[in-house]
Amino acid sequence: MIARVSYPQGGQPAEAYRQRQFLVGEIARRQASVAAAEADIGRAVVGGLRAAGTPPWSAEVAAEIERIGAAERAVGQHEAELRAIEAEAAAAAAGADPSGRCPACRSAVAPGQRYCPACGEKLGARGELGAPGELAVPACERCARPVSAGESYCTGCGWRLALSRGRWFRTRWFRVLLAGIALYVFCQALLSGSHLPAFIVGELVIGAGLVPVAFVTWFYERGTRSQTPLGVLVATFVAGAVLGCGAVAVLGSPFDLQGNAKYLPVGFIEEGCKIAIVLTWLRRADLRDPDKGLVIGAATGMGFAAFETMQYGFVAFFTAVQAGTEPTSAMVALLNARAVLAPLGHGTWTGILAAVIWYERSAGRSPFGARVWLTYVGVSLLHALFDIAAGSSVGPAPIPFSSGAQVSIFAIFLGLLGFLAIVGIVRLGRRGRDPVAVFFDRAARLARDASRPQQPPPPPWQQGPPQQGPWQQGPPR
Amino acid sequence: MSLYDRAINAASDAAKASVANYQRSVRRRAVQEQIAYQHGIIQWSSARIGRLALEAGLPLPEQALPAAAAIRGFEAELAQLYQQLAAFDAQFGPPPPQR
Repeated sequence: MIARVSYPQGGQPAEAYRQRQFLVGEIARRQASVAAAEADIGRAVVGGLRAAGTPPWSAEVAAEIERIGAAERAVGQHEAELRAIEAEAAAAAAGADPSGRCPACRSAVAPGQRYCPACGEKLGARGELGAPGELAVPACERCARPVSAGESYCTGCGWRLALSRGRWFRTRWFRVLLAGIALYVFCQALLSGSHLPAFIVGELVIGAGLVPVAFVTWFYERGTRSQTPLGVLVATFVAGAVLGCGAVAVLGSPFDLQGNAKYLPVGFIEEGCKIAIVLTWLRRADLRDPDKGLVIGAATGMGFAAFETMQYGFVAFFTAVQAGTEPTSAMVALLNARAVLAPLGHGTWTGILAAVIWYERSAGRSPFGARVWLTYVGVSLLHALFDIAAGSSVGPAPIPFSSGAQVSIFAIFLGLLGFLAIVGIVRLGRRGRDPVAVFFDRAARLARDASRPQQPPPPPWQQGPPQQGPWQQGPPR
Repeated sequence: MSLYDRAINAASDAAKASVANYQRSVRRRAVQEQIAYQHGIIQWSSARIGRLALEAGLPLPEQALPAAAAIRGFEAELAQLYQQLAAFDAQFGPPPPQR
């Protein structure tokens, strides 16, 4: 007896269904065999036609033969590609460098050279370098213009070349940062062991100057198209530190304000003192490039930040001594917090303001025009808000972040705002656009749109016929 | 070159080599898939040409004769199988719908 099973639909018993499935499978197998045999016949026919040079008997056959030819050519190309991949894998396994570069310093080396001409690394130790055809031809990644060795920027489009970029951990700014952190930690260990005053000073100088110096090195090395002379940067860094902080100390705050309001004049005074130092470079003929103005501004601000941090650290140390608490940990906490916040603060604000002045001058406008003053007000307000948020002060310094995580997050947000602005300036400048004009034109358009009274759009039956689309206008002339 | 430079270079080279190996294996797989696809096209077009040649009744090359004989045998078997299938469906009704 054949058991009946319950299918959702249909009434075949299970055994019969299995037999039917077997039949279906057999039919599929026979069909596949027929197709394979037909393909054998087809190959033989095509071979015969090609050998005899006779045309195919129908257009359909001609199309199929054409398709086979295209597929065979594609297979040939793919097989060549596969061989190249295998050869590359074999070369990599043997230790050769197919990029044609020194494995140590990444500078280009010619095939056959056994030592790198740039750093003296022995190349033979890692196997022969790539074949002559594989040696990379140095060219700009953006416009493909050939570039010569030693060029950092493409002369055709101003693109910063990948050849000059190197690896980020081999850059000077990273080495400065790394070495500074090592020295800072070393000094801290010595200080906790001995409490010698020399280590307190060392800790203070390194902790305060580490991030500002690394930031300025980054700008000097990578940030912009043209390099500002190192002497100018060092001079403006020191001037920002000593003269800027000195001027702020002498001027003080002319207003006797209490609470958060006291930070408002602080922002204006400090930004004013820093930009006054930056402006001393404005007349130098070799520093007319707006990028150089930006770097000078950043260096001045960072010098100021370093000196200010040092001052705060000193005050924090002696305040803790007077209060009878652990002075070193108070100082180190302040140094750490300000080191984290340093790239988001003084250097960025002064860099923005200096860049606006330099761009205005290079566009033929007054370097003391309305846009510059508006920027001055903007960065000063940003400075004041940042001070309020971070809880820092020009008076006896509380440790930043002491007032809670929410405040510090807001401070970082404000700092990032400035940092993004400076990154935007660098990027727009690199594309050959005037960032000041871009920003103020857009702001003016937004203000115009906002002030215009909003009228509701007319109903569709009053709007007239739809405009003619480009697809209805006929072919272009 | 300092020890620091060498250590950094060695770590960088190792990372780069593993990335390059991975990228190479992805490229290799993509190329192999393309080759298989193109072989499929060749097979399909050859079968189509073979079918057209059989339908046109053209004289076949000698090396195609065994395949032509095999096709005749397969077609006879297929006719029998289709008959059995029709008999099954007549006896037990239509099959359940395929999901």
